[in-house]
Amino acid sequence: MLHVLFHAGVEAFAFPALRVRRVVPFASLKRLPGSPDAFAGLLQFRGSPVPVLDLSQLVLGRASAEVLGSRILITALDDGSGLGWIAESVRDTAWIDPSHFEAPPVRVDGAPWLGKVACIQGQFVQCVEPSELLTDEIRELLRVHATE
Amino acid sequence: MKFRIREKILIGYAIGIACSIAIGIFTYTANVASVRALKGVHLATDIGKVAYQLRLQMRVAESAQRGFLLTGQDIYLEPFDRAIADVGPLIDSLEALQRRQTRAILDTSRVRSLTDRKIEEFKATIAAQREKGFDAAREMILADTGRSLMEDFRITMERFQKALDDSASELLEASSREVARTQAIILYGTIATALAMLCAAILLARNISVPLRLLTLAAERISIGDIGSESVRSERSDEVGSLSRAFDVMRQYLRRMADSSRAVAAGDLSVEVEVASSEDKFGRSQSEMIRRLSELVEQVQRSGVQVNSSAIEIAATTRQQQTTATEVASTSAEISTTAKEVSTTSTDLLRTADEVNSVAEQAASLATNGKTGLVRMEAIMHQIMQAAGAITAKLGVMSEKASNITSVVTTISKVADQTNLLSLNAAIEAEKAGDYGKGFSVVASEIRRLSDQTAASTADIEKIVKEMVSAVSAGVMGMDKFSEELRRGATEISEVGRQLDHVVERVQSLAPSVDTLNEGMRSQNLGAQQISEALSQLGEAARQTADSIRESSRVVEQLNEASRGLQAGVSQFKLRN
Repeated sequence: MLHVLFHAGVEAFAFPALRVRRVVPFASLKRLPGSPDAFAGLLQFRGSPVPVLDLSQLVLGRASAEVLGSRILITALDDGSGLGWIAESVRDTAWIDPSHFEAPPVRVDGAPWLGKVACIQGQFVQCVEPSELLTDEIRELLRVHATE
Repeated sequence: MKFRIREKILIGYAIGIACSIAIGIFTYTANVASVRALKGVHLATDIGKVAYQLRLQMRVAESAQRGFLLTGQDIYLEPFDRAIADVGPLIDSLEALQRRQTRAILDTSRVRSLTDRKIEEFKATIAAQREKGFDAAREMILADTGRSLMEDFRITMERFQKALDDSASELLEASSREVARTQAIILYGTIATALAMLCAAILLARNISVPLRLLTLAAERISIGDIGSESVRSERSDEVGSLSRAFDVMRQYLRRMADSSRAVAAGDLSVEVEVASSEDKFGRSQSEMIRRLSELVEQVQRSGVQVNSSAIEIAATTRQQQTTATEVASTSAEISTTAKEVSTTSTDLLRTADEVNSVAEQAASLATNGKTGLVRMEAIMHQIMQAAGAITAKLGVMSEKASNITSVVTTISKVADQTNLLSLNAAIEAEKAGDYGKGFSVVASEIRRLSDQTAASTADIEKIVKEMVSAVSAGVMGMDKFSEELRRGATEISEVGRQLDHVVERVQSLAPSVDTLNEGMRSQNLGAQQISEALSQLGEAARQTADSIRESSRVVEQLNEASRGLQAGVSQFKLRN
């Protein structure tokens, strides 16, 4: 099962590749005033605006920097509409057997989106569950956005 | 005996004088008789001499007559006339001499007739020889008238001579008898006088000297201060008695005086001295003495107190002076040491000034050398500045080239990023394609690997270029700073050159100053030595002063002691009120 790897700080995280429709370069987004910090803005993708969330904001609590390797992952929501994720150091993919993933021995209540961990080439990689990342506030925002 | 001493002494002398007068009278009468006899002897001798001359002249005339008769020569008659001329005067002088005595008398008229007749006979025979010859003269002589006349004359004269000798020896005997009597008188009279005087002296001495010796002993005791207690009073009526009574009165007087003196000596000045008479100078003077002594003691008591306080003040002052003198001595010693140090320092300074002078000369020459070196250095620095400008220009070119490289590298890295993105999407698409996409997935991963390598290489290049650019800009900055410093250095060098000129000027003007300094130092050195000597003398004087003050302090201590003794002594006196 292929995963797209990204980094938040020094920690490596894996995003399921099958959820990804396209990886696009970091581009300037249309910011929406009054939106929560995790909402980075709107991206023009194939003629239609796509909301983009900031993984670094969600994971680390800070905005992603516009550096080489910072990219936007376009995923499809359940209703087929697109959703973008900004991440840093999106440079590699990794094929990880699902059996390699193991549930971590501790459960962190504040971060339900953190999934199982696997060890690749001596380094821990933690799987990120995109649906868990969507808080109620963001879901509300997206739903409003989708209905428009 | 009721005689006084004067009468006793006169009696004693009278005995001696009477004895002496008796001896003198006896001696004188005996001596007069002896002298008279000796004068008779002398006269007899003179008469004898004249008589002998008369006989001699007659014999001379006779021998001359005989010589002429025998020879008929007139030369034999020469002594005859002189002899017969002397006969008459000799008989005259004999007559005059024998008129002064009575014992042996010559019949001068008979002698005169005998000589006249004999001279007539001489003349007759001489005339017969001359007129009738020797035989006629011989006839006349043989008539024997001449010989009997001459014989008669000779017998008469010899008889007279014998009478004279008898008279002289008789007178001599009388004279020696008188002399012997005189000797006896002198001998016995002297012994008798001496005995009489001795007896008188012994009697007088016993009578006078014994009481006088007692008085003398008492007087001697008094003279050594022992007045004694026993009385020397005598009831004799003479001078010795009155002397002993007067002496006793004097002794009692002295005892009274001694008692009062003893009281005074014990310090009792309240004693009264009774004056014996208006002539009692001793009593009056002792009374006066006690009065004066009382005043004196009072004065001495007052003065003693004053002296004591003054001595204490003097002692305190002397101690202060002593401290001051010691301080002066130590201070002057310190100053002297300081002056010596000043002298040593100025000597050192003198030497240092000489060294400074030589060093300054060296410095002047060095500065001149430095000046030429600086001029050369300035030129070299200008060359360096030009070279630095060239280097800066070259560095600018290098910087430009580096920015070109950077833009190329940026382009490459963008391309590599795009390639990476492409490979990612390709891999995702291959995954979505499932088994069909497997081969494509491999290609995509290869592409991603290449793009990663490119990205890494470009990152390296970028890093190198960045380092190069920073190095070049650091070099440019360094060169700018270097140029600036070179410019500043050049200005400083010319400044230093000017200062070196000043230094040379100053150093050249330093030599006379150093000479002046030398002169001043020398005079200062001399002055310091003089000060040091003077201070040494002062210190010596202060030490001597301290010594003398110590001495005077000791004296003051003695004075203090003496005044205490004086007060103690004076306090023993008891005054009248």
